[in-house]
Amino acid sequence: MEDAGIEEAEVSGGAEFAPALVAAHPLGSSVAVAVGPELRVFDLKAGSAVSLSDDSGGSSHSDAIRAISFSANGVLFASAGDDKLVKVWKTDSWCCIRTITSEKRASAVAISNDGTHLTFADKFGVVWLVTMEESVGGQKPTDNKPVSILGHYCSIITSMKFSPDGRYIATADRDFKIRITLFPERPLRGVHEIQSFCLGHTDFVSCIAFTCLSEGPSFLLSGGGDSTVRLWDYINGCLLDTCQVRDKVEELIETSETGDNNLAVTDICPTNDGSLVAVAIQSLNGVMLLACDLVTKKLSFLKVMTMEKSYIPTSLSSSFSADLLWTVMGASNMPNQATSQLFTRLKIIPNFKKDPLASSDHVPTVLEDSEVPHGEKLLLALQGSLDIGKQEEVLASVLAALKVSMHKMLVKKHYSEERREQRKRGRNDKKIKKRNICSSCDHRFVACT
Amino acid sequence: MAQTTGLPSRVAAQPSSLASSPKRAARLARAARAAFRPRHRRRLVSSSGTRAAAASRSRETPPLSRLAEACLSPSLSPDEAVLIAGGDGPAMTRGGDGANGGGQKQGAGKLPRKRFYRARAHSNPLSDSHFPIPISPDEVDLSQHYPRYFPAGEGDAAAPRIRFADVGCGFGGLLVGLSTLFPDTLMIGMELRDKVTEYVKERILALRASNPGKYDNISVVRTNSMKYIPNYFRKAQLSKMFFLFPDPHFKEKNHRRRVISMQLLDEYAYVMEVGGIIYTITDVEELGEWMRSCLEKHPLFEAIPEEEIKADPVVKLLSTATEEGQKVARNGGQTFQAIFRRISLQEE
Ligand SMILES: C[S@@+](CC[C@H](N)C(=O)[O-])C[C@H]1O[C@@H](n2cnc3c(N)ncnc32)[C@H](O)[C@@H]1O
Repeated sequence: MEDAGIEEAEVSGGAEFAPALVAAHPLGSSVAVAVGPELRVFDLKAGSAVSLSDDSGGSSHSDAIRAISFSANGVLFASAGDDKLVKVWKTDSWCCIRTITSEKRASAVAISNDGTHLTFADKFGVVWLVTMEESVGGQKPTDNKPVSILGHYCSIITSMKFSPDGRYIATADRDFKIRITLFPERPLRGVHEIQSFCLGHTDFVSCIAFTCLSEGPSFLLSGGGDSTVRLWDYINGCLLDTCQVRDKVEELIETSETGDNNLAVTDICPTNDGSLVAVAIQSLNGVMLLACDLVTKKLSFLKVMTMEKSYIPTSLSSSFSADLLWTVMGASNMPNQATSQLFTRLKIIPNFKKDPLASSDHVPTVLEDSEVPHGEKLLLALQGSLDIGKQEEVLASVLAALKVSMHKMLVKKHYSEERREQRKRGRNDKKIKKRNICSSCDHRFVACT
Repeated sequence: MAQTTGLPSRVAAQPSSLASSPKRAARLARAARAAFRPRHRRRLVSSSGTRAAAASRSRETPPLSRLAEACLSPSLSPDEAVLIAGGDGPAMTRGGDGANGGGQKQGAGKLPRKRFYRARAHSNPLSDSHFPIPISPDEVDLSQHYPRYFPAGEGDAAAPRIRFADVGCGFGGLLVGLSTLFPDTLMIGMELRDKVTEYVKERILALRASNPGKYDNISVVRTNSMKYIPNYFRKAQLSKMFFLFPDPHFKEKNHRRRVISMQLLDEYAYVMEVGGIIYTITDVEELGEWMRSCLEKHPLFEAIPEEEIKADPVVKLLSTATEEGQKVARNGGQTFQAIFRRISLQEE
């Protein structure tokens, strides 16, 4: 049933479901939510919604934003999406200083730790590089067009991050792969040396995040369609530990609700000190917490922080300064959705660090709407509405869309046997017509049988 | 037997002992080749001069190692000439994938016939796959591929690893040629088309069956090399990679389907050891230039000096060992090769 729906949508060229995203400023000065083409920013210092401005001379987002990211020092912010635009914002003024046009839809974006380069991935799995500063060692290309630096051959890159020391760029894809590539000081001369592949996921990888003990070595965390969170020694491509979240979730929610593919990990977010990982899981109303011991290199289940029934977060983020875990639920590109309905729901988990969360059950686990910093002002700005009634309606449809979302975006197309035969036949028909030209590569048959 | 293999009965009736004469082996190989070729092309080839040239060369009674070269079709190795001649090998046990299992079309030790394995001329490397993919190199079951090197139940830490990869191996002629040249090196062919992969499996099984102790070091997997190379090989595992007569993908918009590109070279560099050699050859000049320029631009590869290339016994096989190579040779086509060494990144 589901499959039929998916294929129809593909045939009719229907846009793909796009989950709402949240990103907290690393120093806690603002928080951004993206849903559809809308970017909503709240200034936590001033306590007011930010109105974005644009000095870049480029157009504004007109289709779903697929990725947002702050630079490590919080000075820059980038947004990229289905409209093939990559926009760079200065976070002091929230003015867009650069609009880059991609040839293809963008699926991931990251800013190098020193803020000198921006990378984005397109839907063909190619990563492009743009120089941010006017002159970095005088190597600014004259036209400053994006330069392709690496590629995951025809796979969608789902997540892209720089390592804490800035030496590596990590890219994850839907073909179960995570690639760690050395990011040289002068990346325009080429980014060719692969440090490792982290292979172990048995389904698409949906999210990656670096984590480390203060001043210690860093590690990579990943989550995916196989309902696991994994811990990696990414320098050597060694899998250190795997945490199956499926069993835990199935204990918590009635099994009737959990179809086969509905327990994909959709996002992960480590605490500052590396001791915890928050996990968002499809079909789980709440956030799962894992204890992450970077000394013994173990991941273990800690607890589930349950939220109201229809609240299944699509994105997680925390800042380095405040111990808040921001979660958001929402989606765009859903059937029959008007753009005026781009609601999201936002929830915050306070005390996002190990001790209070692990040791006591008395600590509030999720902030009530009235307890949220800046209260209604913030909620109105980031959610788009305070009307809970309307919200519920929207959340219900998001919930439905979530059930098929990962299929659409990530899971490989599993054609039914019959359809595959049909496709094959279609191809053969073509072949008969143009006997000696290959239908897939225009090479003459005689040369290659 | 002659019926089931469809070979000319005169050839199939030859007892295997005949093959002890290299001259005869060469003749049998030619006959077998003729049987292999699609009917319509047979006449064409026999009327060309190349066949006579090969015959006169084979009159010098070359040593076995040279025999391959003497045959117009070294991919049909002297050992296979024996096979075609009806040398019944020991029965094989089948099961699993790799060269240790596969199709059931032939009797033990019989060379598979290509026409059972015809497939579309090219597969589209962009389309989604339906073949098993190892999650990581740890999951590649070498005992399935090289049973003699991995006797059942013996876990060996110092077990050998695959060292050569023939990417887009087609009908496997290069593997067969390399197998005896490097009898202690494990090598694998990677091929996208499943029927072609099945053919290579059967071919290797047949060779093993009739030549006990030989051809145990070659195998084949069906996979999309453009996507899954890192799933098969660890960092710095390979010492040689081969890209012989890859699909040209002429159109500019299809260049990204080419099996040599700057981005894919990153992955090849990753699985190759420093000092390892990448061999490419094509009869399409434009593609030859493309492959060379990618390799020249890539900081992890450097061109190998001409003298060194001449001394490399492998180079000869590039244009002679595979089905494509022979076809090009038969048609008197030109070839363009680029042979480069994996180097470590130069620090400035
Ligand atoms: C022109 S043939 C050459 C075969 C062989 N190397 C020879 O010289 O006879 C190219 C082969 O590469 C295979 N191929 C193309 N793309 C491939 C891919 N992505 N992975 C594995 N094999 C591929 C094709 O199926 C075809 O058999």
